[in-house]
Amino acid sequence: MADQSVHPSLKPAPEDVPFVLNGKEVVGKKGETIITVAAREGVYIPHYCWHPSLSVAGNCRLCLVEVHMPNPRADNKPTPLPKPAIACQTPVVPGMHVFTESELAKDCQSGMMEFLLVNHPLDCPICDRGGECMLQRYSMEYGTGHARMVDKKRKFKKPQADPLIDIERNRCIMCTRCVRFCDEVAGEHVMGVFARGADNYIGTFGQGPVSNILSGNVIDICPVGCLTSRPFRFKARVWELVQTQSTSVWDASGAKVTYWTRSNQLYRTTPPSRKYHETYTINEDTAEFIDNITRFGSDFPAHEDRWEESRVRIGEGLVPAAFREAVRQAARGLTRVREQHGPDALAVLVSPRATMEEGYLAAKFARTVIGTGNVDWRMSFQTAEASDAAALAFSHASGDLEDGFDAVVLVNGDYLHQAPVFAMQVKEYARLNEKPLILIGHHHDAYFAPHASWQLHCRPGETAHVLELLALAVRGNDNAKDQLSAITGAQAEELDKLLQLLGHAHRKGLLIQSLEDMNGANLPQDVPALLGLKSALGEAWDYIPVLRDRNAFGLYAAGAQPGRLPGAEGAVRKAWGLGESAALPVDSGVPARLLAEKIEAGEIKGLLCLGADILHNAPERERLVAALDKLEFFAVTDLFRSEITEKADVFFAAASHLERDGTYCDLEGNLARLVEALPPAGGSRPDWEVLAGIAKEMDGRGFDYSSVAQVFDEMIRLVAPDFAGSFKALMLKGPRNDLTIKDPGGARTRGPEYNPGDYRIDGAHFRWKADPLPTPEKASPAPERQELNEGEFLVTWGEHVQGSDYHLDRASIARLLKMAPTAEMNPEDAYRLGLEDGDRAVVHTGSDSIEVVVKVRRGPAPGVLYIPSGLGDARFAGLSAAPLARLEAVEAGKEAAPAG
Amino acid sequence: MLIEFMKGFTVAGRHLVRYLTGKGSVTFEYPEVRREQPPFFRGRHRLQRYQDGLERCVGCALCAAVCPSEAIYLEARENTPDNRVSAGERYAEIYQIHMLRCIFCGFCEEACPENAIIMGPSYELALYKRTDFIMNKEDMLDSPEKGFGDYHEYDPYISHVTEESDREAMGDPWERTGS
Repeated sequence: MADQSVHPSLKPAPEDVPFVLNGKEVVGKKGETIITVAAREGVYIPHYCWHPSLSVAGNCRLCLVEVHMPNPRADNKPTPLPKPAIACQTPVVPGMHVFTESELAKDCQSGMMEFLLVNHPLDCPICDRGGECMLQRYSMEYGTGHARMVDKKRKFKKPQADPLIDIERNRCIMCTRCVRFCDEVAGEHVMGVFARGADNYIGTFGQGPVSNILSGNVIDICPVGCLTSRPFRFKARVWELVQTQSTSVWDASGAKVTYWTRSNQLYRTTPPSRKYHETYTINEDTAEFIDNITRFGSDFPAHEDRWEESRVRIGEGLVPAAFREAVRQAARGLTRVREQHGPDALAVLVSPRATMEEGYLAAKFARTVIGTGNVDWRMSFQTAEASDAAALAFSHASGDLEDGFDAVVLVNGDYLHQAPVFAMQVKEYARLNEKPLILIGHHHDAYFAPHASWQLHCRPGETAHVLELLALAVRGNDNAKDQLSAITGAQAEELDKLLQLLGHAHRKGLLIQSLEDMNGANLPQDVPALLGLKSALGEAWDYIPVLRDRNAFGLYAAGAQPGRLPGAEGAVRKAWGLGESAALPVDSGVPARLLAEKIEAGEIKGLLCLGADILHNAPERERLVAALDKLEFFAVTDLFRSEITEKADVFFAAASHLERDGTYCDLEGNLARLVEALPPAGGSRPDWEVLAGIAKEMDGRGFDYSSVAQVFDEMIRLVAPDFAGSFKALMLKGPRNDLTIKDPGGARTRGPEYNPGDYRIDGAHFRWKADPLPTPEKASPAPERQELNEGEFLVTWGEHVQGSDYHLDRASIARLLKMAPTAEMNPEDAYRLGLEDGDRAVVHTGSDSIEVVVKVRRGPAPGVLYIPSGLGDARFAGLSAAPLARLEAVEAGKEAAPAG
Repeated sequence: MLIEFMKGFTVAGRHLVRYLTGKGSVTFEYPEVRREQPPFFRGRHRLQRYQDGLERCVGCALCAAVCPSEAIYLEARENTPDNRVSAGERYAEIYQIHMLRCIFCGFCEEACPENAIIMGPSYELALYKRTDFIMNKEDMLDSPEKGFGDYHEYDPYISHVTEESDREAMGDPWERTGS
């Protein structure tokens, strides 16, 4: 039995503390504060600075309550404390009596409200927070209704620090929620309190921007109108907007969001709103944070490039056509190619942003109507082998963050920028519950590094070897332990502790692996190596692969890829109306990654692409675009006019994520419903209608769907046979449903009420257990290490979610936020080269060179440079794994040296 | 019955004498002569300005929120140093009132925190086309040439209905109840 000296998480559970809250006997845990227990018991104590996800500051003083303590000198009779106590800071003590609604407590609340309003400008008519402001609400509920302040109010100059967040310091009540959020949750110390006394104010260091990807959440958690959204600034008042509870189209973590719309336009995106006094309002105490891409990047359908009607090619040009006509043309084109070249000359591509229903219909369409296995979504991988490794990873995936974990191992990856909310949840759970974080690989996410209990660094290409050695060491191989110590530079006793902990975390462990192209060609080795470690660690360890593509797991489950059917073959044949002998191509099929090659070779002659973003974001974009000219028939559904849609023979105007219903699956296997927030613009149609239309035109049977709910019900019976429920019954549970309700308070909402756990179809339903891979008896030979000269680095890269993306480039975040390319390096290297955080440098890779801003983080291993691709001019797509690079510092004030 | 006839003709005769002598006529030669409205009359909306010409309206949309017939639509924008329209940070770029929907309840002037919208004395609201009934900001905004001396403060209890005007209109309440 490992003890607390191995890791602080291995401590005994805290004991119960019984006490009295407003005359009711309640039980808290030792170390908990009054406000936490009260919130759990349903007693609301007003608060500004306290937030369930943040540390305690105790500076707003609004949560003052009356406390009576057992007095040992008076026979343990409860005696009033001499002063009221703040509920957010005072720990619960056995036998204490707490009064939150006594005369004294009410007096304290109204007095504090008057204090907080002393310098508040009361410009509510102008303020964007008006209508959902905690200060307004508490003034009505706890305030006195008048002020005795007659002097002039304090005034600050307005800084223009951040392109996305507007700071209005006059309104600030100094709760420091934003400062603590940036420090603790976002993991970047960028905001602070400046000056003293009555003059103190909130700001960013050096007047710089709040550059973090989670920074937008300070807008929601700010209890007043000090921090407001710039894209939403003065666009509308919150009570005019219709709220739709839906899910993010960006974040593979499956973040749930509220879309706020009015007159066919999206105004803002926030975390789910909450019910308050018969109306729905923003949730200031939310723990369901969302990333900036979801928050400021969901408005791309409103871009001026949008094509709102279907088009068909007549001669050289695309001319607008009725939807039925476009469907007929597409069916005719696909039939012609199939008759001339056979079914395998046709391919169906599905965007990773397609819903599960669309993926399912694409799989059904390709396999039954066309008769080919060429249906795929896996375009973002560096190689076709890597995309096969992803399929292997998905077949072993299990586990859910909601169940918590006792230890977590993260292998290589920029998780914060691939699945921001997932990364935040992992880090927050580990940080708040003091669970050990173990990082392995050549690049560790700098977001996790400060909280890591163990970091095992290695060079690019050695990750699989390290994982194999670790699996052997877990099985008690001392030789492997020594080799591990040699290759990672970890001390022997630290490794002993780690092995002790891994052996001890029998309750629940989590292995997380990024399937991004950062690892490039190494993915086919890394995935089996980590699965080998999983089998060495035992049944209690779960495995979650992380991919940036929003609905990757859902499309995998829906069978929209070669080698995968949506369910057991017999059931699928029955559902699709195929006899035992009818052809059902499963294993044959061209991976999407080889599409350009196959088109060039003349093997693929016709293409139906659902969502052109898959082609735009492909690693070999130029080659693909050029290859499209060789196609005999090309039909595409998309939102925007682009060089790819110009090449189409038939173009279908697609409904955006705001304009269609559907189901997304996140990387933990939980379902979230995409809800139609706006009517489809112009003549645009959702992709499932396009597919069903073409299928019917091509005499396909079983495509008579009248709504997406029918597709879901058919699909879910195959994907998860044990799943009892239907689209309507389950997804529209709760008081909110598809009808727009006008609440007495004025807020209009629609969409499902999300209750955690309702939509989980993992475990017995969804995930079928694959046989664990055996741990090899011997580790594969260690790759040879390259000698690095002074200033030389091995470059590793990841696709930055804030970087270039076909859809994201058309959102307001791309217009407002321009990010310079960065390069992360280990403090060791930075010290040797005399570089500091924020210095400029030039990276030369082969013939290319790029100027970057140096970030000194504990993420990359020594000798490794991490460059997020997509920021500025940084384009690394298509490069081989870990090229050698030379780094030159640029002296301040000088221009960068020319490329060479 | 004759007495009743006499009484009736006496009233008519009194008014005839009044009319002929030009003293105390109760009717007006309407298009040429207009009746003066009481100060609390709720007629056509006006958007007021400050003395320096800046608009009072900051586009807070409280009028639109309170309007029971949903007759008001507005969109706000941010003031810039080059284009300063109102005194606050925001101003109403679009401000429309649908006069066919308006029921002249006066909630908008009551809700306005800036005293920007006020219901004026004008009641001649007939137009030929339905679309003309959507009044834009320009139709309601006080023109700068008009001068801003007649700024009209909304306060139903003090400025509009003063004690004197109240007594003139209603008589002395104490006298009427006789206590």
